[in-house]
Amino acid sequence: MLIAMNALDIPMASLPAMRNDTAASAPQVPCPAPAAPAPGSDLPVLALATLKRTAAFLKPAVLVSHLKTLTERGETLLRGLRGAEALTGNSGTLASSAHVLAGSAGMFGFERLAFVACRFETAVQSGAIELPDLAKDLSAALEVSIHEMRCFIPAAG
Amino acid sequence: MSAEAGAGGVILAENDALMRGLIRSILSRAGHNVFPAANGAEAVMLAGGFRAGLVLLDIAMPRLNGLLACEAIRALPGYARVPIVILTGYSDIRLRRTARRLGADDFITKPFRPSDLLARLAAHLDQASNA
Repeated sequence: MLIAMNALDIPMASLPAMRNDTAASAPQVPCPAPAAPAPGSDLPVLALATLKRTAAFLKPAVLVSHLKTLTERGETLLRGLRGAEALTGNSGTLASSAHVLAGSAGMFGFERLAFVACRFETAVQSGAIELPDLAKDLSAALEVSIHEMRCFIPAAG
Repeated sequence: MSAEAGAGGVILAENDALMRGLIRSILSRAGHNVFPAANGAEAVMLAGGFRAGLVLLDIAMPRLNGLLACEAIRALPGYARVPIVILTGYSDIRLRRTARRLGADDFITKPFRPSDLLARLAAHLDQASNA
């Protein structure tokens, strides 16, 4: 699962030293500044403790049913972000879907998705110019979160 | 859970079926008798039919939003001191002020810890029963 990959994070502070070590042999080409990480990317895709806390109040079958619903909503929003709704400026519907998804995803520990969906909704409401970037961030958060959600849903049959 | 909560029950207005089911499970597990409503108008109708121990309202709902439902329920006979709690994904301070002005006792933002929700509701129910 993706949450285990946090342990592989490389400290960014180590990167300048690595560049200095190779400076003598490398051609002196201006290097573009590294892109800042997307807001929310430091949050876990899934906070397992939160999921467990909420799951404690649900029967296993109900939990699976809720996660299935969450997955379907995520997939629908993802299609909307990639499709005509985003291109035709019908972002109000997408923001509304993001709002609903943010609350429920957060309850089940999908912290990154909840955060990014909330930012997207706020950006739509305020007409922020960074909306296309936020739509990309939301798509990325949806993809990894949906992947995690599916891990908890038993395969049919 | 206090005896008052069991006697009056909790009206839960939430238009999102997933969240409604989830909150209902949390409250039921803690021993609350839950009366679900899918929008503000349904919540007002429910409240008009009996005296609930506590009312839990989402804000963004069709037909009648949670803030207007709060105002309408507060004006019903017998509801002057019944705790009304707003449960919403919006954290805007202006919404909080508006909710207070319209009669809400508390404002909880989603996502929340189930234990926090239950603790806050228990505190309101105890306070109401001691008033």
